Amino acid sequence: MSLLDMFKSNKESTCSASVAKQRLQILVAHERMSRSTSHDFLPAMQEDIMKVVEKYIMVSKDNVSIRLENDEQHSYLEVNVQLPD
Amino acid sequence: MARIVVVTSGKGGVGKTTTSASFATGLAMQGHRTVVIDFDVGLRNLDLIMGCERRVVYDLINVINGEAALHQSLIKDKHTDNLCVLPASQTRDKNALTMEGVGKVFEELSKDFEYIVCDSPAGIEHGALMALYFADEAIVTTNPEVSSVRDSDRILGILQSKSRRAELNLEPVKEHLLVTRYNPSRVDNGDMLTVEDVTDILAIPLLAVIPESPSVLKASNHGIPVVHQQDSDAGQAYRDMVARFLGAELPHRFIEPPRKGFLQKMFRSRA
Repeated sequence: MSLLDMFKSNKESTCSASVAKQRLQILVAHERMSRSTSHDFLPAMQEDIMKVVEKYIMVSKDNVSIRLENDEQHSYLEVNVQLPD
Repeated sequence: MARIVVVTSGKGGVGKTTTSASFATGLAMQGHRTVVIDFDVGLRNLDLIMGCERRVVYDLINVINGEAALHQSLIKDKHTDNLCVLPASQTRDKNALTMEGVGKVFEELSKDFEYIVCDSPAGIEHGALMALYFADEAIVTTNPEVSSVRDSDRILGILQSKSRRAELNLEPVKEHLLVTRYNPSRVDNGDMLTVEDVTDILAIPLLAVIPESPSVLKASNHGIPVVHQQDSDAGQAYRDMVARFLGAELPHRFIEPPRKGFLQKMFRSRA
């Protein structure tokens, strides 16, 4: 180690706090988004979709799945209806 | 009408009970009639930190169940006028905390006290929800550490959706950030999140920073809230916190590391 090194700040090489901040910012933003997109309406919507599907096709409730997913830019609504053979 | 203040955090071990004890004591020292309630049913500790563990006769659940009158369960603090402690039950099931029962206790306490301070249990289960449900203000206690910050954000979400004020569409719960166990030297080394980092992420107003201090452990050993210790940094920080809560504008202290001499700087890298 040179004499000069002793006077240099060693912040850049060992700054674990900045890693912590970055990780937290991403995580907290993600968790806030999934909180704000209220999923409360999902069961009711599932009921309604079921009624429409049942009007035309005989399917059991177990064969219909509805999911809502978020990533940083988009929200996806996935409706999966498994048709009987 | 009394102001109901919940001391909450999500994460355990960040200093909620220490804060509840010193904050309530500080309010009482300023002449405000204050009661501090332990909501940690089954794991009560506020009585120990307040130094009244041998004087507990009846508790919050006894009052809710009608087995004791409210005035029988209130313990008058020995060190401070205007201050009472309402302990949690050590044995009962926490589901005995009913919303109706807690609401009635608050209603009755409101007649005699200006501030009702609620020491929340950790977690986001029933006891924690009951502690924050009726709150007018919340002191979100956070350590400068990833898991504590994340859990505090979670608690903020709950305050904004599950509190009485949120459910009734009233003015939202007033949120205050309290950063505890802050170590300015470690912050300076880049090993600990700064106060600014934490306020950036949580985005709520900063009430105070309590430095990590040996006097907190000493105070709990004696059962005398650290705010009583005039010469302690943590004690002074809690006094500042109370003064700011009551409207004073004070600069934040204890956020800079102790100054180091030239020689100490030279040898730090070798330590």
